[in-house]
Amino acid sequence: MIEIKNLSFKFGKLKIFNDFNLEIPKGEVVLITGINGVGKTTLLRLIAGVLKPLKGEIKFSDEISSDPRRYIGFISDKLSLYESLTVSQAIDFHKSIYGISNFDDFLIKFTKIKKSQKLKQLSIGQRAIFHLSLILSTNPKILLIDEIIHSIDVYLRNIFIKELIKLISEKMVTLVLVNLNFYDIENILNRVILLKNGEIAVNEKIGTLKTKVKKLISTNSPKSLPVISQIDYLDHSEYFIYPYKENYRKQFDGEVIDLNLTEIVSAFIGGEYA
Amino acid sequence: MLKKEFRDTLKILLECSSILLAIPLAKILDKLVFHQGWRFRDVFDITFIVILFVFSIFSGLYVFQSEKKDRGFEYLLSLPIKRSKIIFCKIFPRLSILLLLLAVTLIFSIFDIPLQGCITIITLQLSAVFLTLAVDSLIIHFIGIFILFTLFQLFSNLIFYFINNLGVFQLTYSAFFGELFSSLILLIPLGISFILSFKNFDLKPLKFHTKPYLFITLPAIAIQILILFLYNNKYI
Repeated sequence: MIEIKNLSFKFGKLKIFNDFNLEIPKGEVVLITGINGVGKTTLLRLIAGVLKPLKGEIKFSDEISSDPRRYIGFISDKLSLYESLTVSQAIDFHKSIYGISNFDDFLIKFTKIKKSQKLKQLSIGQRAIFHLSLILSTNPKILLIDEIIHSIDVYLRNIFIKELIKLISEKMVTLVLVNLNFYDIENILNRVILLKNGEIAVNEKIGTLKTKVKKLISTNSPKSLPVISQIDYLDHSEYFIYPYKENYRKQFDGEVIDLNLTEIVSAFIGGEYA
Repeated sequence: MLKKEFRDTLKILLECSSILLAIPLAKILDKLVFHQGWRFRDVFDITFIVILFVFSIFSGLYVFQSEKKDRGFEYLLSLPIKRSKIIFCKIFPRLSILLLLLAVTLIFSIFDIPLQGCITIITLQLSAVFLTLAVDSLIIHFIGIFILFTLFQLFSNLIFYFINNLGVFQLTYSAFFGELFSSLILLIPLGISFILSFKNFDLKPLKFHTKPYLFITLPAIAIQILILFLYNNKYI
């Protein structure tokens, strides 16, 4: 479990979070999303311990609280690793830090990575898979992945996501993803958290969210309904409603449409730019 | 991690060792142009001292170079390593290789006054190490090192004269204590600033981490400069 309590953080005078609170239950797969610059990556870095909070605390479950970083795997958006090391040297380095003797290289065999290759010679996909295999060797309890999945080519992305599914189902790992593209990961998500102005605008289970956000197509403006954003066309408009209730159908003349996750998040983000 | 840091430090030493190429070059130039009859030993001694100076500055300033160059800072900070261990792993290989080089200079008596020479070189390296978190620009770092080195030399002379005037110690001991005290006066505020900065270090830009340098190192240096100024103008 990750529990963020009264967290404040800023870069100089730029406030990112002020008294921010969040709880992520153990074993959940959470997507953190929001517009660019809202603090998604900063939040992930704070959980990973790469950034230090100005105020407040980030608590972890008892089993890992003694040394959280030992149990947190963090793949940053920049795929930060020592690029001048060879694959073999990077494995040795990682093993020495975590005090582990075995490294299962089955995953890097798929990607045709040679152990004598320098990390800077690897493609983004190969580096992401390699980083994941480093993390898997340490048996993480929490895995944080920052906007890297959709930079990976389709073949390696499938391998990457299959490994994530295995990790979630077999080891109950808590997975926190920051992503702006949801097509491939929608099926593995439990919860969606949308950040807005350093606060949580939406924190819903994915099933609940899909029932709560709907698109209404109509020629009339539904002024009494909670519209989060709208798209106007020549002869009609699309209204995105949150939270949607079944009795709205009676109040409103138009067609109600279910949305997928990409459309839901687009609706929220569109509302912020409106 | 120690293994990696030793490897990085040896790489810097290898790069610095390219200065050794100056020896055959100097011999050739002497034979063809200068005709001074330079001995191999004299040229080697000067070259080796230059290597010591260059290595101590570069290895010191490049403490976090591999993280900057390799974009590995985020990875390093996410690893379960205590900050104190990171500092140790960074400083120990640099200092131990420098001490090994200094042992060579002692064996071959390269310095005229060995202990003072060693203190100067170690001070130079540690100053560079402690300065590595202060600013982001390598040029400003180099300028900073030369200012600190000049200050260190002036201050050690001042302490030397002070101790020598007491008439308690021999001349060489007074000079030794002058270097020792001066290095401590320089390294203590710099070291405290470095440790305080690194204790709270994270991925934020460097400018958010330099408060200890502003509030500890800069006033300490200002006081040293003031003392030198007052002494030079015979106020003290």
